[in-house]
Amino acid sequence: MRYHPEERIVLEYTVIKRDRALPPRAYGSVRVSPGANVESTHIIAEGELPQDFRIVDVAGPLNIDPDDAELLSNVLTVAQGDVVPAGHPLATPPRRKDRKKVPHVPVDGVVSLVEHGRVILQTNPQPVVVYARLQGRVTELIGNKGARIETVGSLIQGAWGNGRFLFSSFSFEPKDGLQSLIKQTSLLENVRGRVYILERPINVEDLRVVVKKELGGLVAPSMSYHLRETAMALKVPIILTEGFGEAQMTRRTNEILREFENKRQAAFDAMLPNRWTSDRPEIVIPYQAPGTNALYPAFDEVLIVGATVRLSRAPYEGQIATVTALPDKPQIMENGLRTAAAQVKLRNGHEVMVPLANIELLGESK
Amino acid sequence: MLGQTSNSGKSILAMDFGSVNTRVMIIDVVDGQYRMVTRSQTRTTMRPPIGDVTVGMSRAIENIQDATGRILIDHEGVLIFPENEDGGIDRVVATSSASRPLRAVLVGLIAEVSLASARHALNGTYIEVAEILSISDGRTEEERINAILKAKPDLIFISGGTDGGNQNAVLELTHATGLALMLLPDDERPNVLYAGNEVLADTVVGLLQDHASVFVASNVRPDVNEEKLGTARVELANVYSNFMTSQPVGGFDQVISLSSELSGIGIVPTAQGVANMVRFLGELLQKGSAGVLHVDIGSTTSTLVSSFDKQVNSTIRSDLGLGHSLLTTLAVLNIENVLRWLPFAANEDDLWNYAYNKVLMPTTIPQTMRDLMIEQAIAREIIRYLVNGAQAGWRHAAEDGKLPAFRPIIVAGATLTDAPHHGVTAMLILDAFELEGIHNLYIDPYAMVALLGAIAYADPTVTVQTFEHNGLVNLGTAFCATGRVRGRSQRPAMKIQITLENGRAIEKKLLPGEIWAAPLSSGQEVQVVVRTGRGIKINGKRRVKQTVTAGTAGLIFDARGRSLVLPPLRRRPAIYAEWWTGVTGQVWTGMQEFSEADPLSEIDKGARETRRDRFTEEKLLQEVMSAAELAEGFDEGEVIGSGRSSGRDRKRGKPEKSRRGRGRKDEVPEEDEAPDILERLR
Repeated sequence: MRYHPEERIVLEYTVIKRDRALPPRAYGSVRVSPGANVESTHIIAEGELPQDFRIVDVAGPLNIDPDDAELLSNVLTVAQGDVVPAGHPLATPPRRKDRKKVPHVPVDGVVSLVEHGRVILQTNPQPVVVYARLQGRVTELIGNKGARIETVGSLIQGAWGNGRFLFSSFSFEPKDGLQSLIKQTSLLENVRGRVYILERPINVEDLRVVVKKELGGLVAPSMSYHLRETAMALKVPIILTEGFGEAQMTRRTNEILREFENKRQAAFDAMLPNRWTSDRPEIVIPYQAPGTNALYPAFDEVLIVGATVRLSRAPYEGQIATVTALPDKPQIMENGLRTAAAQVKLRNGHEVMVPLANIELLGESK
Repeated sequence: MLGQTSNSGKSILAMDFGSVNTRVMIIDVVDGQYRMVTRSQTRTTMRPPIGDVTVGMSRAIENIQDATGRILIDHEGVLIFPENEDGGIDRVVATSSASRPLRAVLVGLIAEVSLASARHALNGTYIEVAEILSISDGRTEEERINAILKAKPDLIFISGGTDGGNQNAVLELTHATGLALMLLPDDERPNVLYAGNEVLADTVVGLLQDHASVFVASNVRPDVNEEKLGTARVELANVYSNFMTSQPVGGFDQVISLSSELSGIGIVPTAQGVANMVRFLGELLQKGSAGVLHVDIGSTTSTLVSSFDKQVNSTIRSDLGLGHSLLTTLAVLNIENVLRWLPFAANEDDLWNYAYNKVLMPTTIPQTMRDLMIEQAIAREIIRYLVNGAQAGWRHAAEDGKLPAFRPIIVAGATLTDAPHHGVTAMLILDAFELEGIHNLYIDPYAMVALLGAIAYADPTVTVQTFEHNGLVNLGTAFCATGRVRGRSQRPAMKIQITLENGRAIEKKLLPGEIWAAPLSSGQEVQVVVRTGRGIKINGKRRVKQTVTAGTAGLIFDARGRSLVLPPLRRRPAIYAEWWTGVTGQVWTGMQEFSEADPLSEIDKGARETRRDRFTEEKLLQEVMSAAELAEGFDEGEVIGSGRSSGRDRKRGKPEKSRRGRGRKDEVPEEDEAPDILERLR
């Protein structure tokens, strides 16, 4: 039986391609051109998201038959798509005595529809700005909605994020703990805006340090669910690489972050995972490695013997392993469940059986 | 054997798309009768980055080809039809519960009449009612239009007016609906179903057809005292197909096109397939006043469908499930009730952490005994919750809230059907339903009920014959004692005598509080005599004698009494291990894991420390929140895409409701703050 596991990309050097576009229903324009190099804070597209509709009856007050399309078209001063300010008259009166009866635009808006003697306005539009969130090159435009950006570097996909973003330098937690930053007074040791990597679960004290020292964010393997709301209230990224509870960080993630600690800046995009899209929180460390060919992450691969995988559930949660056998028949797990499984070799050399459903590929190209 | 083959014995490819698994099976004629001949299961591939269910479908078909040698798709990956000497298939039937529920706006005249009937018609498909407009809601036309647009509906269901009755009110609401449709971009326009005053059907179609796909059904309330839901439900299935086809990702359009072309039906909502089959079974198996009950605990949705006297009741809960919906499930259930099923020390935090992780990885399965116990505990409580909710609609329900007679009880959903042993599955069912008396328990591990229900629309003969051969897995008959069992009495609660066909007898005495599955071969017909101890009865009697057929769990005898009293934590590991051994015949080694990990002396200490830590933490959290607000001008407005919670809905753990604020709205959550932060960095 062929099995295609889910993916969670953790790659040291790869091509990263991301689409940035206005949300549905928003209208606006793209601010970049194909080929342009962009920083993570560059605006890709800007527009407005319409809100409420207002109906203004024009025919009634002017005593015009709403079915008299010709007369209506002669008196109406607006057409579909017009941006109209509050107070703008919607018609020229057909008769002098009707001057005071002419309806006016009640609030700033856009004419959405003119129908049967009535003008329907879309009001209270909300501005929408789409940022690059990635340092890279615009490869193509997505209609008048956004653009596709491409870069190369390290990519680490995580499990959960608080919806925030920052492009910043980063360091691992000091040996004396994150708390020690509170006593930090040296001007040379600037911690403000710097993202800190923890190799343990986040606790409430850590969040206090983030606020007090205005850190740029936190990356940690896990945290208790009850800190989630506080993390959401913070305006800097909080990324969990593994999930909730007390999971430890996958060694490969740790190794990549260690390699670039204090050397390079990274985009910490703490996207909230979304069931209906492929959105996941991610850390992108853009860099060029001359002489090394960056490949796109492998996608939707069949699980084969020899594949390097990440195990996603206890008791091997977060461990990287190598597939050593793919039995044809379902296997019995230690809890008694009988399920399709793979035999994998852990880093400590032990070989164990794990359900196929609990295996993730890391995006490695063969 | 029931029925004869029809359509010259045409083979059927039947597929069920769940939110986690895609199940594919071949139904074909063997010895003149339809049977399920082979099946396969793969991961559903609806979500991005694949975003196409046909990819998973093709993989499942390839697995069937590899296993059986039967060729179903050609070299280009295209399904071969009709069947010829090289292979292929004649018909395709599909059910799905994989996509999100339809968001519906109900439009009607009176809440208690036409709108109530519209709601009844919706019981049977995956619908989330987002808005209700009625003629008496006091809203202006402008307010109605904005309400429709804000609801972002996939369906507008217009009902109202008895046949030949009020027309103006229906037309007024239809005009508002039409205007709302005109204001929506083409690709966001919902389907419209009209099931109101029949006199107005053509007028309504004329007013709306330029702006949306309009489906027309018979009036759901032709008369104040009469409710007709049949055609509305059929049209809802068509609306569902249309909705699935229009989804930008999913690939359902290809499946629908295939099933429409080869079987004349589109994709049927899984719950509707189940409801149709339960109705069918109710008519087929009707025994006295007993009904048929089907419960399915899925990853996203849980359903309970019952049939009594040809009347089918469905409860579909898109917020209850053991995967994608686990967070909303915990928000609905009483956590303490879930915890009492766990044979180890756990608290609310453990469950919420588990749920948050499961939602992040809904396709994974428990590998440790601890995780398995958690999922089984939640599954029991979901069933209890569904039963409590459905009981009000059961006319046959006893006044004391006991479950009415159901024969059979069928359960589906991997947590229940794929338990480590069918004896455990039987115990889960008994625990969840707290059954009393004698019951036939079945499982539906391959989603056969839904698929056969869907096939019944095209060819009922296939349904009848396939169901008879391999529709369900019989777990066995359960004899459940009623009455309060007292402590550790050594006087038997049940004396059981099982006489086999060869005359050999098996005798067993169960003490109060014990449960036992007699290890018999599935299909074995035996005579059972049960005598109960004082104060304990089965179906109101102290002696019952019945000839029954053993199932895959054998026969189950439950002397734990009713109401089921669960032991305190200190005694749970030992008692649950006894129960496990009783229904499986195996020693539960998993219990050792808990005993070693949670020495009982440590449990209370741990709980006290957790409470103390939490108290300190709550204070610190408040401090951090206040500091965050002060330091960076924290505002409570929602930012599109961020899912940021309102600061006020802080009931811990419950999924927060987002609110719209007046602030600047960005596609990227943090973008409005990004310049500020960067400024600070400079």
